[in-house]
Order: sequence, then structure tokens, then C-alpha cells
Amino acid sequence: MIRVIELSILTIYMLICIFIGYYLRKRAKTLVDFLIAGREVGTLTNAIAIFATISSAATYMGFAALGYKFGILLLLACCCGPTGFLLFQLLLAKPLRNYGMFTITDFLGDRYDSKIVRVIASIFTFIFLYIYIIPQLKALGILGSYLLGIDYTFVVIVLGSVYLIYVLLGGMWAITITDIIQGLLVAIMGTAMGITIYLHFGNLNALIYQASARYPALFAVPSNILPFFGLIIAGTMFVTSSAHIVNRIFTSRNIITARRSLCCVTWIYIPVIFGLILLPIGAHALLPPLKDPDWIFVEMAGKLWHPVLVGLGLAGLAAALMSTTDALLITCAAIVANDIYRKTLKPDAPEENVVRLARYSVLVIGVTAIIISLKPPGLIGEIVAMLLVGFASTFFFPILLGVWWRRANKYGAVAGMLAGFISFVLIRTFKLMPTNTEIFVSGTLNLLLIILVSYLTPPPSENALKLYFKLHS
Amino acid sequence: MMINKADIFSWILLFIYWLIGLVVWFSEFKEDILGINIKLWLVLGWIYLTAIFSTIHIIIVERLEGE
Repeated sequence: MIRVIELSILTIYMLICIFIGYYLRKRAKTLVDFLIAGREVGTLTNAIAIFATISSAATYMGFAALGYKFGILLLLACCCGPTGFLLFQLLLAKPLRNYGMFTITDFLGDRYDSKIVRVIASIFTFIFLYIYIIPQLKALGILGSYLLGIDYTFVVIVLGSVYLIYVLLGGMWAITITDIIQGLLVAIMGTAMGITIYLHFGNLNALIYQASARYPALFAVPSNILPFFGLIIAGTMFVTSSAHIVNRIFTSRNIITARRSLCCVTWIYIPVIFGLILLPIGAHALLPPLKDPDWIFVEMAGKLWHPVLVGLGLAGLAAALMSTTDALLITCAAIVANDIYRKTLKPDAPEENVVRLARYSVLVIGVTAIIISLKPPGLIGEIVAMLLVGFASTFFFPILLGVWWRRANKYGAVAGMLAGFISFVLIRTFKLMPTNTEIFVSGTLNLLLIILVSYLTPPPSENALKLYFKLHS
Repeated sequence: MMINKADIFSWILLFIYWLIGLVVWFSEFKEDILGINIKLWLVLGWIYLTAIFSTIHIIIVERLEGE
């Protein structure tokens, strides 16, 4: 019975997403419409879309599971969305919206006036984002097979095809509108979980007492705080440098909309964090020890909610996964069609060819990602954490200094990106430092090399300086 | 020069926010509230402070840019 209700709700949700893509297909004809929704997205819509984009497999599965296993402090360290949004709002929203092009790699290529910077940034970003799609699809597959009893392969193909269809049809317009539904579902179900747990116990004291009696380590504060702080620093830097999140600034109507939407999304996050924190506390207090903590949300929903609400919760989880995957997919396509094809290989290409290539890219990237996800690699949490630190190590300082330091030039940017990426890979591969603290070395190395190499090489070109001044106009 | 009052205010606000964050993250407390170490409450409070800082920034920067 429960499965029928859940399956029905999930099916309705998928059909709505496809209908939105079909309905908006005519609005995605030009490159600006297909890739950045015509730069016409308003404050609240953009805020919900940003929230939907950043809510991923990690939100209610990976992070809540980490909190369940390793304590609330690690969960708090994972709550780096708001800290990243604040940094973004304060330092980058206005200049990046002033720039007003398609992708963050576009920005790096133009700001440093260099094809090499554009190509390196495009390749690294594409690799990171493409890999990031896999754990999202894997989580979708596990979610469906675990809860509905359907074969993993079937779930990955069906759910993967749904987001592929609506992105292919409606581009960024379809993503934005589906993100509203997805973002609201994620926020409401997460908050509802927190409220349900609180109401179940009646007061915070009883909840905390019961959870800590069964699992004292839940509220422990470890003596070495550095890996936790490393995670929040890397997460903050990731939010401001990850191409699929930065894209949302390019979609906003103007600078005021861009900044206000970042402020709004911070407020949307607050009750969700409340739900996220109560989730592992409630699970320890209410449930027997979980074999696989990734299913903490599903287990708690099954314990506390009516089947209809469980179905909505499942749709919320699927929404969190799909809203991230569609943003990753369109950003990967934008990199191929705009950064590599239009800006590097064929600058005089007609717009309709670029849009066509973007659609083909969506198709190829989406289908190959689905195929790879049929035999999924690694653990979801591990892959996401790795990408988060890797992205921040490679891109944060070239973007920040590109915006705020006039002297930063292409040589410095290339040296910084390579140093950050390579040092991160080496430290992670050979386990030279505790996990998540790599950012302190690779990020610092990146920063120092940009400054040093920029000073030792000729100043930026006239075009690069022109763009720099445009950012702050 | 392109650095204006709004930019300076943004940098100062960011500096204060992270200064508070550093103090909160690297301070040690022995006392508990409701059986939970004060440090956990403070880290939680610091994350929630983000929304307040974000709102203050919007209000003041829009006023400064409007001048």
C-alpha cells in the first residue's frame, strides 16, 4: 500500500517536470534563453532555484548520515551553504552580474584575456561537474530501488531520462521553473521533519537527553577542530566558485535581484538546518542503530509520517537530486557549446548552431552519465566531499582575485589553478593530510602562486583591464 | 577609483563575520546548556547569524549605492 502511494506521488511529480519542459520549449530558442533563462529571473524564483541547486544527494542523505555517525559538529560544518552565500553576496554578486555572460569559465577566460585560462578552467570544471552528476544519479537509483522495490537500473534510466527530457526541451527556463517545485519540496519536507521530531518529544530537553543517553558521542566536541573548520572553509569557497551555482547569478534580472536572492536563500536555509540537525538527534532517540545511515531521512519518515507524507518526502529527496543534476547538466553543456566551441574553436559560429550543440551536449552528457551510473563508483558522501574541496582548491582564488585584484594576470591564474588542482590531487591520493584539511595547503598554494607569478610576469592586457573596470562600474 | 563605500562596507562586514566565526570555532568551553557543550550552540548561532548579516548588508548597501 505504502509503495503504491509513494510511486503515484513520484510519478505525478515526474510528469509535472516533463510537462514544464514541454510547455517552455518555445522559450528556449536563443543561447541566452537556453543557457541562462534570458537573464529575467526575479528575486524569489532565483532564491528558490539557488536553494534547489545546492540541495543535493548530500543534503538529507550524506550530511545527515555524517551527523548521525560522527556527531552534530560535523553536521554543522557541512552547513556551509549560508556562509558561502554571504561571501558571494558581499564580494562577488555585483561584479559577476555586471559581467553578465554565460558561465564562470567564460568569466575567467575573458577576465584574464586568455584562451589557455579558458580551456584549463573549462576542462577542470567539466570534469568536476560531470563526476558530480554520477553520485546524484546513484542516489536516485538507490532511493528508488530501496524504497519502491524497483530494480536499480530501471530507476536510474527512468528518473535520469525525466530530467534529461525537460532540460533538453526547455533548457534553463525549464530548470528554473522545475527548481521552484523542487526547492519548495526540499525546504518544506526538511522543515516538516524537524517540526515533527520536535513535536513528537514535546520539548528539546527530552529529545536531547534520550539521544545522548543512547549515543553520547553525538554531542561530543573533538579536541582537533581543524578538519571540521576545513570543511566549512572549503564549502564556503565551493559555493562561490562552483559553476552551476554561479550560473544562477547570471540568470538574475539585475544586480539588486542577484544580491536579494542570495539573502533570501540564506533565510530559506535556516529552518532546513533546524530540520537537518534534529534528524540525527531524533534518529538516535527513536530508532534502533541504523545499518546504513544514508537512509536516515527515509527511516524517520517511515517512523513518524503518514504514507502520503512519506511519498511527498520521497519526492522531496528525488527533487533535491534532480534539481542539482539538471543544473550540472546545463552548465556542462554551456561549457562545451559556449566556452569550448563558440569562444575557443569557432568564434564566428551562428547562434542557432551553438544552441543546437548545447542541446546535443545535454543529450550526450546526460546519456553517458546515466550509463556510468548503472555501475556506480564509490560512496556518495566521499565523492561529494572530494569534489567540494577540489573545486574550491582550484577555482576560488582565480575568481576572487580576478574580481578584486587588478594586477592578477593570465600567468598567475594558470599557475594558481594548476597548483591548487595538482596539490589537492596529490595530498588526497597519498593521504598526506587529514581529509578536508587539504584546502589549507592547496588553497594557500593557489593564492600565493597567483600573486607571485602575476608580479613576476607582464601586467594584464588592455582587454583584461577593461573587463576588470566593467565589473566594478 | 572604483572601490566605493558599499564595497568597503562589504569587506568590513565580511571581516567581522569571520572574526566572530574564528573565535567561536577555536574557543573552548567546559560548560553545557541542556547537556550540550556551549561551543555547539555558538557554532549553530554563528551559522544562523549569517542570515542577519546578509539582511543588514542588503539594507545598508542598497542605501549607500542609492546615494
